[in-house]
Amino acid sequence: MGEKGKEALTAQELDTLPKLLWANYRENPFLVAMRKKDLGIWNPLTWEDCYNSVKNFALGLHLLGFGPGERLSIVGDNDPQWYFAELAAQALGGAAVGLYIDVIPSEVQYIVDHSDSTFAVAKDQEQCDKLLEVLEKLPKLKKIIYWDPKGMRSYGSIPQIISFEEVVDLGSRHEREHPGLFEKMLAVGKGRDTAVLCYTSGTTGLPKGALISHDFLIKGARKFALVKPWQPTDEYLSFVPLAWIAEQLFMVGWLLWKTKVNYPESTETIQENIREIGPHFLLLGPRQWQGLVSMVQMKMNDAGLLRRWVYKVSMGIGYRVSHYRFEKRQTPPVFWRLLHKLADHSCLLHIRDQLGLRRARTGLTGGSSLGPDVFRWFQAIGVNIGEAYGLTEVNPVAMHREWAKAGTVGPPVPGVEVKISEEGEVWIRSDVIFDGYHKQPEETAQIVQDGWVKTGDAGLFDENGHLIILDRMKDMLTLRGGEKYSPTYIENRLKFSPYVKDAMVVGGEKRDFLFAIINMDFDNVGRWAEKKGISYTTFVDLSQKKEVYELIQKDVERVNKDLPLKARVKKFSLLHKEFDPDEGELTKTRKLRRAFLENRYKAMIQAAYAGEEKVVTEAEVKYRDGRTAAVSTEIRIWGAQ
Amino acid sequence: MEKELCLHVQGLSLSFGGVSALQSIDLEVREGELVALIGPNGAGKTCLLNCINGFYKPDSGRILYKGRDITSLPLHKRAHLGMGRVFQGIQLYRGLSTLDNLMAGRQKFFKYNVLSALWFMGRAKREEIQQRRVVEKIIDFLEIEHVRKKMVGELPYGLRKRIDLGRALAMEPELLLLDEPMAGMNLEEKEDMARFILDVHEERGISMILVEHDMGVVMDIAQRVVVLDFGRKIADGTPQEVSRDPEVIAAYLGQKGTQG
Repeated sequence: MGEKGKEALTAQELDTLPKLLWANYRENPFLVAMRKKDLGIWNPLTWEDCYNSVKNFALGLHLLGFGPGERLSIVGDNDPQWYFAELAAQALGGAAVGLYIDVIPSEVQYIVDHSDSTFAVAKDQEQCDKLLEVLEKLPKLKKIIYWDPKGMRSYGSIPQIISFEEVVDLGSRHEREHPGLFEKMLAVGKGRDTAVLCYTSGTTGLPKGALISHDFLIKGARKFALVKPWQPTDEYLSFVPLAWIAEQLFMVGWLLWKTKVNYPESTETIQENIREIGPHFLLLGPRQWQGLVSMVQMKMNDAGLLRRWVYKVSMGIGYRVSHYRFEKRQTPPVFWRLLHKLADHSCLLHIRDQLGLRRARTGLTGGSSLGPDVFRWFQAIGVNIGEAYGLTEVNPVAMHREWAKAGTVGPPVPGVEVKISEEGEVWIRSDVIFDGYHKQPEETAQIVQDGWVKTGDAGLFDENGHLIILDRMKDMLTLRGGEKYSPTYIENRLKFSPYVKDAMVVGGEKRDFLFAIINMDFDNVGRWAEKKGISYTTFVDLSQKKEVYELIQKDVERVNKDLPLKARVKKFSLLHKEFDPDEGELTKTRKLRRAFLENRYKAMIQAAYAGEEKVVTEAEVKYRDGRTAAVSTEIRIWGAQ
Repeated sequence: MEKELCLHVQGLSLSFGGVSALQSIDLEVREGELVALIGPNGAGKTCLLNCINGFYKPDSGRILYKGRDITSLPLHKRAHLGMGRVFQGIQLYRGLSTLDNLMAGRQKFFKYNVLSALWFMGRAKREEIQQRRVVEKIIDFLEIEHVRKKMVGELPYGLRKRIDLGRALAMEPELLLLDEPMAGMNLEEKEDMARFILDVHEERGISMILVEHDMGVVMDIAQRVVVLDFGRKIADGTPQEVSRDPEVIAAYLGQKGTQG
């Protein structure tokens, strides 16, 4: 590196991501910064390797005509090259536009065109093909750069296509002729510059490109670290898409705290790779956390008698101790602590080890809600997972601390103000938010008003100060008294109970309170009844037992506790059967068909609001041979607080 | 410019007792060519492959491989000359991992002796690392990283077929005989396999003889098609030519009114 370049930079504040990379390289060039598993081996990359790759790639881009203010679209699996390309674009004063790997060509065309990208970096043949398919409609695009040469052999004749390595070679030759050029360009960047464009999949209309500055990312990562601190010895597995703002923040954590980032071999090998790395930090989607639980439970079901017994006893102890720690917020008694040690060594530790979570300090999930069973299971085996809430427009917003209360997303992070508006919408104020949507000032003005970001999410705070996200504002309904409520949210909360299989909440502008039609979970309620010595014959019989109503009442009241007084479930009935897609009650993906259901159970609903305690329904029963018969059942209407 | 001949079969005949399985078959495969061998059941396709790689000894005729007469050469020597095969039924060690199966395919490249293997030093270590690298490239190529350490016997059929192809590739063949590599696969698996076969063909320039029933696949990927019927060659040409050939149509669809 040229002496001039060094001086030019040391005076600068480290306010952009490439500058942070430069500083890390200067501080400790031979420290391992990244690993990528390739051909079965974890190949380490030092800060020097990373810096040189970014530098040479950037200079190559510069030679090919990429200038300040331009955009670079990137599409492909998480790989070092993905992030190098981003940093290179930023070093030249440009910004990166991340695309999800499952985009279809028309979306690629829209985003690349709308973001005014002049270059695109695509992982492999599959992604290049998408770009090539719409190439004619992308006049601004100069080059497509690929980093995985597999299957690209026959693409050599296309003038726009060039490999990542070729660009790096171009750059390293240029570097030899113009030493210090890169550092000079680096020094020009400012924290206010746009670093990335995150396109949010608009549920209505076309995707919007949020302009994210370096400031946003660096301050966001620092806020994150106030709640969940990073350490230089931390291992992180980069797996959730880099096009997502959360992963972008985690990568800034890598730059700020010099953690080690590991890139998995392929999407199919994640589980194996997690185990090999043993990450301290893990960000997975709710479905993936759920998947881990199911995997262990399934394997335990197949295990021998002794192992099953050890698992059952140890998990029992684990549940007990985590109940003390997290729900009662107290140290468990000595007796339980000793037992827990034993359980940990004989079983729980090994489950953590098998899952690769032995060192996991922080497990996070985002996107949608994780069931309480999953939370409790991980707490029992000794892994503390939590939820985080954030938007592309402002991030992070709220996050669980050491105690993860299911159904909430935790208290707001320091430095972020969260307010529930009069309409029940979540408003956020923070020292740094996004810089608007690219080329869409009206949409920006709709979201940002008087410094508040209007999320469009309906939410409220519980008694512990944890934020609860109910639903999108537009999916909220109103009661006669004007109170807003989210049927989906209440139904999902009811379904958290092991005794509730499905539920439909009825209300609306003509009614004063909420009424719920609940499907009990026959297996679990049946087991509970056997334990309690309650005899029953059929589903219908069990569902109308007084004791079962009392059992479900507790669940309803638990859900009610977090709801505003006027929008609580005051009455419910246990249906004599389950909602059935074959009868048109559910869609094929098991979503409620509300209008149909309200009509079908009209009598029951009318009775509930008329204050009756029982209602007789005529149920049509279909026999195996095709005959049908009407069975009349008396269904209770039960009250709840 | 015509490429050189990789395989040249001349007047090959084979009979089992009174049944004549192959009748004076001529077949040419040029370097880097992908030839499909098709025909109705019992036409002698597998028989021909078995003669080429040495399972069967033909009654008459010659097999020239790269200009050399290999008609009476034993099977394993043909493998050493660079002839690989993917079998109709899967031929893998069910009790070994994917990795070990592929390493077994590298067997002909190992030269170290028992003693150095015992200590795993010097040559043994060097060779193991070298061969592992080659195998890992195949694993990467076929996208089977996630089953690298899984026992082959536990894997689904489509994957095992892919591993079988990997095992054949591990031998670094110059001529690859593929006997119904897509039999029993669903459409998606077939598409994957076709893509892998094309990739192998393009990137590695391996000559191939492909026996396949799925005409869609054959017409899509083969450069030349040879049709057998009752042990005779009835057509030889590009997919378009062959699909228009009346004799081929008759062999596949039956002849109209000649039996009378």
